[in-house]
Amino acid sequence: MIKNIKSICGVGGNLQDLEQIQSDPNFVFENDPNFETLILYDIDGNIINVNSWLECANYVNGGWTNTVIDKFNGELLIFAISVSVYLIYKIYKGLKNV
Amino acid sequence: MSKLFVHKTLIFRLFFLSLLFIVPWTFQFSETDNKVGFITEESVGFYQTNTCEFSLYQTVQENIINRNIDIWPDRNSSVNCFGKINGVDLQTNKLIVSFGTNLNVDFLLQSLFFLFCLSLIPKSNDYRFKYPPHFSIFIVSMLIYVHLVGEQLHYEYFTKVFDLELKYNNFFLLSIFSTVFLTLYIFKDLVEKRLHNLINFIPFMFLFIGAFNSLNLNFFMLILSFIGINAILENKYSKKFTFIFIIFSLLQVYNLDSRNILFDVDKLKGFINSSQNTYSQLFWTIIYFLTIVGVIYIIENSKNSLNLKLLRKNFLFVGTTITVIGVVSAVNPFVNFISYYYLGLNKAGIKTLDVVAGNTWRGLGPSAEALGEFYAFTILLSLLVTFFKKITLTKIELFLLFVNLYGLYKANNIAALISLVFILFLYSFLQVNYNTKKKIFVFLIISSILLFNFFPINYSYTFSSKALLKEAYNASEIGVNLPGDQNSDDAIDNLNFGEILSYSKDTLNISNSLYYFTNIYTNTKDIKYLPNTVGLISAISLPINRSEKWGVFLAKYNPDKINLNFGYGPQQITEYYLGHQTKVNTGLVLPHSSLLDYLIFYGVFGVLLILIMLIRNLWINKDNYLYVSLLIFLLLNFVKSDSLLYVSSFALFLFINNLYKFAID
Repeated sequence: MIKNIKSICGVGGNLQDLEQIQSDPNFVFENDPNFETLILYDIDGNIINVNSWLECANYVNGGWTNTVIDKFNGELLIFAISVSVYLIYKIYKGLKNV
Repeated sequence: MSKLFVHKTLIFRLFFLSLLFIVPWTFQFSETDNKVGFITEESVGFYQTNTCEFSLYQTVQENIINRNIDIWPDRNSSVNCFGKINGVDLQTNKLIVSFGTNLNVDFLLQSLFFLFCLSLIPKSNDYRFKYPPHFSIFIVSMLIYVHLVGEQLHYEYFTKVFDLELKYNNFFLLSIFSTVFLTLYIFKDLVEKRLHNLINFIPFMFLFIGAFNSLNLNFFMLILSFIGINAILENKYSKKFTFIFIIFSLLQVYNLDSRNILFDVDKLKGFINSSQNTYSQLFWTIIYFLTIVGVIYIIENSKNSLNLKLLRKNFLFVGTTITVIGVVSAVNPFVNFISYYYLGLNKAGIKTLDVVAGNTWRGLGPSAEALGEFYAFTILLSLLVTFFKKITLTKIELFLLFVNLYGLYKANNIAALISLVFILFLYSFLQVNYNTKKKIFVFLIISSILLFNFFPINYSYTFSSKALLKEAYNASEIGVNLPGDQNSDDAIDNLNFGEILSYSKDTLNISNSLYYFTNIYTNTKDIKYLPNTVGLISAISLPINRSEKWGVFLAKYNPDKINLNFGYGPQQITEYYLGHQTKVNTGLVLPHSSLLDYLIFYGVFGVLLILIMLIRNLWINKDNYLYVSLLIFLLLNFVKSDSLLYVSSFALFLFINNLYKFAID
């Protein structure tokens, strides 16, 4: 996991801080202006932007990663919706002209 | 029977509208027992962990009166997380709630909404395009593909599934192509029944801006390009304009220095080139050309359809609506977000009713300047049409006029206000039947008094003539250490620019334009009674509060000979912006002059050609006072604003520039 954290979040932080915050469920992460915002994904395709090394390490520790693990093909859905709208429109237009 | 049909149409429209407005923000795919609550600082951790669970609709229910939140779109979202909370962050005193939006969903949803709005334009006489739409749709689709290839750097930021490979299961591309097809197919049906009436509804382009949330495209550009392609197919386009445009484009593409750099489009989204490569250059060249051809085609086909009364009513209505939504969206974050998304704003409306950090109130507009210009134009048109075309204002229109005046007051665009008064004087003056010499004399006296009243000049000519160069040097990384005098003031502090020229050009890191201007200011032999050109521009820039912005322009503008003469290309600002290292290479600092913007795009020859065309039009139609007044008003304002970088102002300019073609009287 440490290897994962280092490869995704970088080597800039302190792993001991990570252990401390795990015992505090109400911990609020503070933005680090020097940390370039990263996008992490979970297995359900959820996305989160992390704005500090600590926040990034916390999520990677929880199984999040920087590559998409998306089972749901949303673009296919959008394609299907647009094709359906086209067909409905054609039918509506056809009925109107009858 | 007819009533029944109207009733059915209304129900269908309401149903369709509710689909567009409610469904995308209500759906919840995930199964969770968690409930969204009143968002506070203490619950930030909860929302940071439970992302993609709570829809906008649920959040509105619990937080409609929550004054501590701001809502921002999270444009990196997957389709699955569209319309749901994707994160909450604490920034200074506000909680930023990010709702997921997605490129493919935005394109489809916003296009359908804009089409719906177009369908509300009353029908006119039927018009038929000569050719079926498929070829035009194919061309637009290919253009969008070229656009995606050219601006990959921009898009890769917004979507993880960005994939340009042409294969049957690339649903990212397929959904974009299907959306283009659907949009233009429906648009063709809508526009054929409304083409003659479109021109009367042009003010609505200031309300429905048409910029897509996560694409660097504008809806109006797409549909106008579609019309433009039809115009070419029907051979209804200007050959002279096309020839000149092609010459310029060839030179610009030939001289393009392709680089892997990204310009952050920010509030120029949808009408600016974010990259600097052949593909992006080709796209913007073609789309810009087609957009102009499309607008001219509409104008040529609507010569007898302009209804000044309706046009005035629409301007007043739009101005009022912008003000009202602007005020409501300033106090309610949900209205702010929804208005940003559905109106296709370049930038979310301002989140306060007050003046912030020296900036004036810009409401829903991308800038207070552009908004102020719109209000002033609306007031000018309304007054001219009322008093000089003798079309009486109704009581409601009078009320709307006052709301627009309030908008102008809030936008605090003094230049727009002065030009409004100036043009009203000009128009009144032209209407009076004195001989020409007397007219000009009285007019000059009145304008001078007005100008001196509005611009109290508190500076010496020596200082004001150097202010521009001083600002330019302040923004430059000049590359040499200038020695200081006994007070440690260097040549820039002492306004002694000639000393800088004593260094060789190669050791200095100043732009070509700044070097050239300094040279003219320092080494040109003065002609008695005539001010130095640079000194005069500088002296003009100071009272209109442009010496700093134009100084920055001088510091950054570093063209080679071809770029200077023919420009970098339509909407191509990247080289100007990032090509030459100055102290102002981050943040969006625009030239604050459409004239300078077009100098970047089309160079000296391009600007000269445009000016010749404008002067020629004004001269030929000098007796058409309405045309002359409105066009001069726009031109005066464009000198000190970047409005032509926005689609709505650009379309308005094209319309007013061709106003003389309409049968108004």
